[in-house]
Amino acid sequence: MEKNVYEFKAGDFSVRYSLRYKGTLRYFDQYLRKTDSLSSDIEVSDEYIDECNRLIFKNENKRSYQEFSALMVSTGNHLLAYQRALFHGAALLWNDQAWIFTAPSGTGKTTQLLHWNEILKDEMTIINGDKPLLECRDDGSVYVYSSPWRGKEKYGTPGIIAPLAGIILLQQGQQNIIQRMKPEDAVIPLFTEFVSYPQNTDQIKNQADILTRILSAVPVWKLINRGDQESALLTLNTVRNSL
Amino acid sequence: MKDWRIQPGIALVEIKGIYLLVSDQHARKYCPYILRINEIGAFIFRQMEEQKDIHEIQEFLKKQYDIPEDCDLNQDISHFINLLSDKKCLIQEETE
Repeated sequence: MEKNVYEFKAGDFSVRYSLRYKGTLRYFDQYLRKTDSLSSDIEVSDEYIDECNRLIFKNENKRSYQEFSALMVSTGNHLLAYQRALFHGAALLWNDQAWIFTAPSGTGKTTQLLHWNEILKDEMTIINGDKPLLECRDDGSVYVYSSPWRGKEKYGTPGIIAPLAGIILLQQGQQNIIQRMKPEDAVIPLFTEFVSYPQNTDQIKNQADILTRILSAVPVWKLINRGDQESALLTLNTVRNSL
Repeated sequence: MKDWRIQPGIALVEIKGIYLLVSDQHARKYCPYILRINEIGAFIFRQMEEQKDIHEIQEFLKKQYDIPEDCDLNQDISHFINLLSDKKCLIQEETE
């Protein structure tokens, strides 16, 4: 049977997918293009889709969307061997640099993204609303790309590449407080925001290595916030002063 | 006598001085995804990975941390082993 192989490119790096279900392709929008290649890097089995759906995505009904989500997890695992990762966060481009808001789902990443957008207007662009791709380079820098997994709002701009300048870890609270985190305090909260479901200990070690590189490259702030525009202004002024 | 082995699929990693035991998808069926341990715990875990017994671990610990010879660390090591065992990071086996 002929395989339909599609490719996702992030800079000069690519991942090739073989899709099992016809409807899955539409979720990728413009992020995948068909290739003539007959071999793929990633193809998920029905058993893997079932496992991901049972353990991670408990509310998905459409089989094609389940496959799209299982491919995200599989991509997250796959990238770890190449000093790359899918990371759970909202990434934006401002001042020629990328900034990422991260937090467990429902903590206000998109809210912060929209507040920044209201304040900065054309000065900023959303790179990816939910799962940007991070790339650790040999010179110690970390670069951010968009990925097909952009969250329910589908915020994202294919083709943008920007150096990561900082990460803001969000926590809901009754007042707005921002503080720079010591790298060691950021380890566990950031480790758990990698999109991965490691299949072996090598993948775990690769993920640890990538996080070490990220924490060596950029500052991390913790923003306890009420989710209002004032918290976005506070953050913006804080990171502006750090430039 | 009780013997133990490390649950397959658990990796010890160090990130910015923080030591974590992290479970892969197989180990996660039994163990927490992440368990933070301290530097000495990480040292003991590494010895366990090399299948050292509790007496050997005690000797290595004393050497590594300049602990006096007459100090008995068996209870502390056993406590750590029991903690990992409770979290299913170790599989205890009865031996003769």
